[in-house]
Amino acid sequence: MDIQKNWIEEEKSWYVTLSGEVDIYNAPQLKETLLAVIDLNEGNMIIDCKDLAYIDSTGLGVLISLLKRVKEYDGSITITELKPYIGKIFTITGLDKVFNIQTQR
Amino acid sequence: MDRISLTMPAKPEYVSTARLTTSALASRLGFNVDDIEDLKVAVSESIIYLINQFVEPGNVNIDYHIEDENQIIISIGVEHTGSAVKKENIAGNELGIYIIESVSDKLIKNINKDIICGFTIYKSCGGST
Repeated sequence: MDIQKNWIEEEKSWYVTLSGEVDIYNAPQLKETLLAVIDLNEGNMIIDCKDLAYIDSTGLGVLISLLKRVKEYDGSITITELKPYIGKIFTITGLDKVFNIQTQR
Repeated sequence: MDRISLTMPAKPEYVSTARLTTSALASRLGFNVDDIEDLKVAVSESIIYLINQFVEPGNVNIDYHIEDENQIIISIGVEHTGSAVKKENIAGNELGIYIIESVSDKLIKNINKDIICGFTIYKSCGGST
């Protein structure tokens, strides 16, 4: 798993690039990293998942806890470029209705 | 019927090993990309559930039964010497169960004293999901 994050001041948003596999082993690291950036600057978050190969239920749990934190200041999370087979997991769990999601074509 | 077995410590760092093995076997059987991803998800979520189920899980045992070139049956169990985790933790894992059921053709839960101790996952090439 690799996480790149950039704060865009004009948009008051974090642009995060998530790549590799997110699973029960590294999900705690993802949670720690993303909660830390929000503590640094409260803003919206755009997560680019173009190169995300896998995410499990613990990874989804991290995104849900992140969303709860962002909602506290009326922010939003947008997940972009999800591979279709990963988008399917969001659909199965109903999380496609909770997050703003854009799937790869 | 061919049988392949994998035993590994019930630790988060080894779940990716099970995904890789599952992917290789499903690919060998000619499953398409979507079915391979479904199997990886089903196996991974089963292991996560079992790891979280017990206070002191030992090894996770995975048996792959290849019925024919079109179907794979995967039995996943965990050795446990400790007591089961609290009920609220089990409830938190229900998302995983829901995912496993959704990506498998058929799922059997091995239940002992109201605790899920293992899963048997059935998946066929081009099976419904």
